[in-house]
Amino acid sequence: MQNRSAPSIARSTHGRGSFRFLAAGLALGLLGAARAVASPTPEQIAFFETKIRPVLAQHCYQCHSAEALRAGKLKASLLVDSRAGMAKGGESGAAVVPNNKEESLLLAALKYDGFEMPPAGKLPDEVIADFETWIDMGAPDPRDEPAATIDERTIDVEQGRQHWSYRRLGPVEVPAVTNVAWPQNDIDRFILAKQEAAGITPAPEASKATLARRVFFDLTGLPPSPDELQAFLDDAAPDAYDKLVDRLLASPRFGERWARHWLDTVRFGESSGYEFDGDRPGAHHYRDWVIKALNADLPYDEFLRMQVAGDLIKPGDYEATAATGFLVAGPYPGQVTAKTVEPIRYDQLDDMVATLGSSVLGMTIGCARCHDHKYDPIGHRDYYAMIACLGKAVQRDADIDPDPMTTKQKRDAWLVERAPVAAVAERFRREELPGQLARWLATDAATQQAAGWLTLDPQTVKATKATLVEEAGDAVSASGKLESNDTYVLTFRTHQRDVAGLRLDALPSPSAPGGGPGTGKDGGFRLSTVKVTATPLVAAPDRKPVTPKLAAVATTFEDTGFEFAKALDGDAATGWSTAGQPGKDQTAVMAFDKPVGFDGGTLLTVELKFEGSGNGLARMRLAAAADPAGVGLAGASAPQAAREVAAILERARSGGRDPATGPDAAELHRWFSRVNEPSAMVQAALDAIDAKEPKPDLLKVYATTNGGWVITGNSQAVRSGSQDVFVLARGEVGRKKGKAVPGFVLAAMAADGAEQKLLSGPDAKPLPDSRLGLAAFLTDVSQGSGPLAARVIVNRLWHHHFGRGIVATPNDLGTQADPATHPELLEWLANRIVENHWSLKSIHRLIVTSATYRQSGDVSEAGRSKDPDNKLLWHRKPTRLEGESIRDALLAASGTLDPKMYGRAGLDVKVPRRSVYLNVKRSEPIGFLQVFDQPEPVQPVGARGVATVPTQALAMMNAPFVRSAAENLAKRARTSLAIPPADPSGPAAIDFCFTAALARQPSDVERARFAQLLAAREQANGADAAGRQAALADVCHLIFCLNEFVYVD
Amino acid sequence: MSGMSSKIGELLLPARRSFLRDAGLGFGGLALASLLGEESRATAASGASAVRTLPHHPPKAKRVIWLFMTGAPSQVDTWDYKPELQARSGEPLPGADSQVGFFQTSGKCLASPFKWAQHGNSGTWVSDLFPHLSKHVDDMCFIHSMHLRANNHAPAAMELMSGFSRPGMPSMGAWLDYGLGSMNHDLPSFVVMHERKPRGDDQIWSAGFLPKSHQALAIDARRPVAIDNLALRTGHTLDSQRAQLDLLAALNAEHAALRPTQADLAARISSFELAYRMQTAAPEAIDLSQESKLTHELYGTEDPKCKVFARQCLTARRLLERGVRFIQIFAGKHVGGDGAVDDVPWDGHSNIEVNHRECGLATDRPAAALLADLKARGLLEDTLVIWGGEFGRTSDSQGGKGRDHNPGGFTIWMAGGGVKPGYHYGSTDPFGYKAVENKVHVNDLHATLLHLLGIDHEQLTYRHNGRNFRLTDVGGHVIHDLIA
Repeated sequence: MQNRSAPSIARSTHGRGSFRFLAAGLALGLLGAARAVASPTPEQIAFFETKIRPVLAQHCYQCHSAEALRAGKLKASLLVDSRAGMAKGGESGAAVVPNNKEESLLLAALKYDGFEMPPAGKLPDEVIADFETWIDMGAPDPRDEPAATIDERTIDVEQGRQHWSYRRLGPVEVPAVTNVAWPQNDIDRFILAKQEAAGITPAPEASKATLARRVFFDLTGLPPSPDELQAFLDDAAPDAYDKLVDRLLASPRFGERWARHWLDTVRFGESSGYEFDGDRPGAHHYRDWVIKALNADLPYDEFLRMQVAGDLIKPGDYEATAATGFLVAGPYPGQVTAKTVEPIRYDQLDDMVATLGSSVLGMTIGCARCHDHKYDPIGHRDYYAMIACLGKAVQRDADIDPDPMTTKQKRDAWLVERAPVAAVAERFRREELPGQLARWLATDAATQQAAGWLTLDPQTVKATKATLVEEAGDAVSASGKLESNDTYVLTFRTHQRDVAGLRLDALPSPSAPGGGPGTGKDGGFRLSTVKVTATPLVAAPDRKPVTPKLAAVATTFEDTGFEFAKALDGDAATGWSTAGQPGKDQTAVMAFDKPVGFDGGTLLTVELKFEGSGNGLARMRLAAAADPAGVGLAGASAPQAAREVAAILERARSGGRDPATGPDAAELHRWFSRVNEPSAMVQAALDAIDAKEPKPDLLKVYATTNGGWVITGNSQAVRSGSQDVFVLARGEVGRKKGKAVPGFVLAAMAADGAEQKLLSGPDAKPLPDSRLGLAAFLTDVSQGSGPLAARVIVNRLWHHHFGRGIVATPNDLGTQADPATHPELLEWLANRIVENHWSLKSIHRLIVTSATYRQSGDVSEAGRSKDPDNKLLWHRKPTRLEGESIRDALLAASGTLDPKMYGRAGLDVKVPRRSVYLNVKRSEPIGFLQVFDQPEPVQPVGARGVATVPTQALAMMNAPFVRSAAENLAKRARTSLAIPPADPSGPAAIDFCFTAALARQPSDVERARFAQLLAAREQANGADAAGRQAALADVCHLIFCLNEFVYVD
Repeated sequence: MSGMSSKIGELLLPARRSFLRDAGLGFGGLALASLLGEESRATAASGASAVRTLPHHPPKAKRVIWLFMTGAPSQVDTWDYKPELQARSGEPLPGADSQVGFFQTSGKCLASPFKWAQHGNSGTWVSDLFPHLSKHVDDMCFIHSMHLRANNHAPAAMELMSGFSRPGMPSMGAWLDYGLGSMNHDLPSFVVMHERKPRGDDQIWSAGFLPKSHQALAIDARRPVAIDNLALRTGHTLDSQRAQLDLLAALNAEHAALRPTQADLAARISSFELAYRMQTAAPEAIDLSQESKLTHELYGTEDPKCKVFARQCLTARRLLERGVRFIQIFAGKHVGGDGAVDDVPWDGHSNIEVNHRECGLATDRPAAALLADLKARGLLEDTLVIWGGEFGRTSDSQGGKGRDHNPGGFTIWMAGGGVKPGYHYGSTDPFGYKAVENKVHVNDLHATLLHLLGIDHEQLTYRHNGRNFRLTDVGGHVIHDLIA
C-alpha cells in the first residue's frame, strides 16, 4: 500500500486518561508476580545499561522518577527509576514482570496497546524489541535502591464520615425571626431568618385561585375542576386551605403524581432496551406498587426495604414481590452469548448499585467501579462489597397470587363440596372395586392385554406456536398457527417397568393445508429432534429422571437425505420428512438404549422439534413398546389402560398391599375406569368435582429473585454456574482479585463495627442473606446510611415542590454537590421525617402549608437585586409542567380523562388514561412526552431538564392529540351550556373553556379578544353545527397553546 | 424580522440576562440558545462554565454526514486487502482468538470471495463491491486500525456514537448541538435517517442526559410523513394560523411581562415563531422534486436496488446545504434483497458473499454520488463524510461462508472536512484480524472529529449525577496524522 506514513502522533497532555488507570493500578500493590533474576550476568547488566536504562532516562524519568516526584512533576504516581518501582504492582498488574511480556504493562504502554507512552510519540520498533528481549531474559536490573515513597490519596473513612450528608442526624435549633407574624410553621422560620439577614422580605400570599391551581398540580398533577375550584373559593373558613391539602393528599391522584417522580429516579422501564428491546409485560406491577405505597403513606424506610429485599422479607407476597421490580428495572442486553454473559452480569450489578446510590443515597457509587472514588469517600472495596450483597439477585417473571386469602376461602369451600363425593369413591373402591376387578380378570383382561404396542393417552399437550388438541383414540391434532420451526411437548403416564421404545404415527388430517400428515405445503413436515425424558411419578432418592438414547429402528417411508435417523442425530439442521408420499400416514419406530420405567409409575415427556424452517405434524399418535421384543413396525396396538391396570395390580401384590384401599387405589381406579363401566361412573363424578378445584388468578410479576446468574435473551439462554462476585481490577472481568465480601460504604456508617451489626440479625447471628443487610444499611439511622437516605428524600420532596432542591443536585449529596441553600432546614426536615416514622405525607403537608410555599410571584426590588436567583425563596417563580401533566391536563380539561387506575395503558398517546399508565418502552418513547423532556428511562434522573424547543410548539399547534382535546372541550362546553347546534357559541362558552383549562375566569379584555377570534372562526367555519363546534375548538386550541396553560404560578 | 419578531427580541433582552444567572434553569438557557441560533448561543456559552468559548480553535469542518453501514461490513471484503488471507483460505488462522466474535467461529481463514483491484493515484485496493466509490479513493482518508470494546450491534453502535457501550449517554450529534448550537433558523441541527431502525433503536442517537433540545430529529424512510406535527390542521391556512399566533403572542407577552424573572416564558414565545417557520422550511428542505433529473440519476433514486439510500443521501445533501450540522444515515437493505436481516443489513453471519453483494448494491452508488455532488458544489471542503459500520468481521469463517463480529480491527474512511485525501492510517495484522499498527479507539476518533470541528474534546463537558462527562470519557487522543 502506498501513502502510509510512519506513525508520529503529536501528543500533548492527552495521554493522561488511560495512563491514570495504569498508575492507579500500580499504586495498590500486587507484588506477587515480579521476580527479577537472582544474579544477572555481566552481559545482562550490559544489555540493561546500553539498551534499557538510556531509554527510560530519556523518555520516562521526566515524569516517572524520584526527581520528578521532588519537583512535583510526577505523573500518575508511577516510578520507573528503580527495580522496586517497576515491580510495584497494582490493580493492573506490575509494570514489568520478568519473563512475562503479556503481564508487563510497561511493554503494552510502549506498544500503544491500551496505554500509550511516551506521549510524544511511539518509540521505534527496534527499541520496543529490546524491551521484549530484556523482559525475556528476566528483566535484569541493577537499580537496587528502594522506590521513593509517594503519598497516595487513600480514602480516610473517619474523615469521610464528617461530610455533612454522611453524618449522624443531630438536633437543629429553629432560628428566631423578627417578623413573627409571617411563619406558618418552622420551615418559614428557617427561610425567613435568611431573608431577614439579607434584607429581603417575602412576597405576599398568592390569591386563592393561584394557590389552588398550584397545589392541585403539585400534589395530584391535575388542574382543579371548575367545581373543585369553586368549592375552595367559596370556603371562607380559616382552615380552608389546610382542608384542601388534606383532601389532595388523600386523593388517589396523589400517588399517581408522585410515583412518576420516583420512577424518574429509578430509571423505570417496561422493556429491556438494547437490541430487540423485549417487553416486560409484568414490569408495571412495580409502578402500581409505588402508586399504592405512596397513597398509603407507607413509611419511607419500609418503602426502601421492600424494594431492595421484599422477596426475602415476605416471600410469595404480591406487593413485596412487585416492590422488588426496582432492582431489575434497568436495561439489559437482549442477546447474550457465552462470550458476553460475564461482563453483562457485572454491568447488571453496576446498574443496580449505581441506581441504589443515586436514588436512595444521593451518592455516585458507580464511580468506584474501577478505582476509589476520586472525590467522595467511596472505596473500590465499598463498591464490590455492595454488589456482593446483590450477587444472587436476578430478574424473573414471578407467578404470584395477588389475593391468597380469597383463594384459600374458595378452596376450603370446594373441599367441603368435594368431601361427600370422595367418600362415595372411597366406599366404591372398598366395597365394589375388588369384585369388578375379579370379574374383569376372569373375562376380558387377557385379550385386552395382548397387543405389544400401547397407544399412549396424552396427559398434557403443548406447542410453541400451534394449538395441540387431544382427539379420540389417543390422537393429537394441531390447529391455529401452523408455522415452521415449532416445538411440541407431550406427556404421558405409565406404570410399565420396561418401556423399550416409542412409535410415532404421523396421521393424515383433512383439515391440514395439504391433508397432512404435516402442517406445511402438501402435507410436509420435518422432524429434526426427538427427546424423551422419563421422570418418576413418586419421588425417591434412588429414582432419577433419565433421558434414553434413541435409535432409529424402522419407518414406513422416508425421503432421501431426510431419513428418520436424522431426526435422532442431535443435529437441528437435519431431520425426517416424507414429502415423497404426501397425504399418507407414516410410522417411525425408535428404540431406547435401556428400557425405562420407575417403581410407582413414570411420567414420559416427549419433545418433538421441527426446525430448519420445517413444519410440524398436523396429526399424530404415540405408542410405547411394553417390552424390548416388540420394538418394530409389526405388532398390534391397543390402548394402554388394560396393561396399566395389570401393572398396578402386580405392583400392589408384590408389595403385599390391598390394591383397592392402599396407596395404589386412586391410580388403579383411574385406569380401570377406562375398561369398566361402574368404575367409570364413580370416576366421572370425582373428575367433575376435581375440575371445579379453584385456581388462583396468578399474575406475572417482573421482580427480583435469588436465582444466581441466569440471563436469558431473546435468541439464546446462557447459564453460568457461579454466583460469586469478584473484585475486579479496573472493573474488568478479566482481572479478578478474589471474591468480594458483602458489606457497605464504610464512610456512610456510624463506625467501623457497624457493618457486621447490619449484616446480623437481632440474635447477632449473620442474616440469611446479605441483601437483607443491605436493606438494613440503607434505612438504619443509628448504624447505617439512614441519615443520608432521610436527607436525600426530603431534599427530593423539596425539589419537586419548589422546582429546585435545597441541594440543587438531588441525585448527588456528595462532596461535589451544589452547596445547600438552607443546610439547617434540610437537617431539620431530615429529623422530622425520621421522627414522624418516615411518613412522606407528613413532610408534604409541612411544606405545602408553609408560608414559603404559599407566596405569590410578586417581584420585589430588594429580592431582585439581592437574590436574583431566588435561592432565598423570596417569591414563587412560575414552573413549567412536566409532559405528563400537560397531557393529563389536556385530558382533564376536555373532560375525557379516564380515572381508571393501574395496569398497562399501552403506547398510544390517544388512550385517555393518565400518562403514568402509558407503557415505558425504551425503544419507543411516546413522542408527546419525550418532546416535553420526559427523561430516558436508562439512568436515575433526579432533576428533569426543562427545555423549550420548537417541536413542543409544533406539537401544541398541530398534533392530533391536542386537537382532539380542543374539540372535546368545545363539545363539552356547548353541551353543558345547552347551546343549540347551529347557534354561535357566545361568551359563556369562552368562559367555560377558559376556566376548564386555566382554573380562572378570563378578564374582560381577554374575553373580548377571544370573542373576536371566535367570531372570525365562526365565519370561516360556517354556521352549521360542525362549523360552530370547530370554531369554539379553535378557541380552546389557542387557550391550550398559552404559556399560562403549561406554566403554574 | 417581522414586527412581531422584533417585539419578541425586546422581550428577550432581560430574559437573556436573567437566565444566565439562573442555575436551576440552566437547561432553559441552553435550550433558548440553541433555539435562537448562533448569535445567542455565544452569549449562553460565555456564561456556562462547561462550554467555554466555542469553537476552541478555527474548525476545518462545519458539517458532518455519517454513512452508517448498519450491521458491520467486513474490512477484509471491502477496503482492507490481505493477500495472505486470500492465499491461505481454509488453513488455520494464526492468532485465532476464542474471545473474538459473538457466536462461534471456525478458526480457519476465509478468503474474500470478491475481486480486488487497485484504484486511483493512491493505488488503493478496493473489492469489487464498490464500482462507484472506488472512483473516489483519492478523496478518502482511511483508518484501517479502528477498534472498540462491544461485540454486539446495539452496544457497539452506542459506543461508536456516544463513546459508551450502554444506553443513556449523549451521542455525538447531541454533543455538537450542545457545544456549537445551530447554524440555521428553522431546522434542527442534528438529523438521523433510517429505514427499519437499527438494532438499539433511538438509544443510539439519544441526547442522553443532555437537555432534550439537543435530541435528533429522526426521519423514517418508511413513513409518508417525514416529520411529526408539521402539517397544518384541516380548515387552516398559514394566514389564519398567523392571525392566531399573533393573538397568542400578544397574550403570552402580557403573561410574561407580569413574570419578569422567568426567562423560559420569552423563549416559549419565540418557539412558536420558529415552529411556524418550520412548517414551510422543513417540507421544502426534504422535497426532492426540486432536484434535477440528472441529480436523481446520479444518486440512483429510481434504481430499485438502491433507491432508499439514494433518497436519504440526496435529502441529506439538501439538509446540509440548509445548515443542518450533523446527519447520520443508517443504511438499510435494498428492497427485496436477501441474505440480510433488515435492522442489521451488513451482518453477514451465514454468507458474506451474498450478503455483502446486496449491501454493496444498496449503498455504493448513492454514497459515491454524494461525494461527487458535495465536491461539485464546493461543500466537501468543509463537510466531513464518514463511512463505516459498528465493528468489523472475523477473518476466520463462521458456518463455512460467513463471518462473525470483530470489534478488534476494522476500517472506516472519511472524506472532505480537513482530512488528508488519498491517505491510509494504521493497519491490521496480515490476515486483517486485529488492529496492530497505530490503533485507533472510538475515543480517539471522536477526539479527532471534535478537533476538526473546532472543539477540544477535553473541554466539552456536561455535569450529570455528580460527574463531568465528555464524549471521550477519560480517553481519546487527537490523531493529527489524519488532518490535512
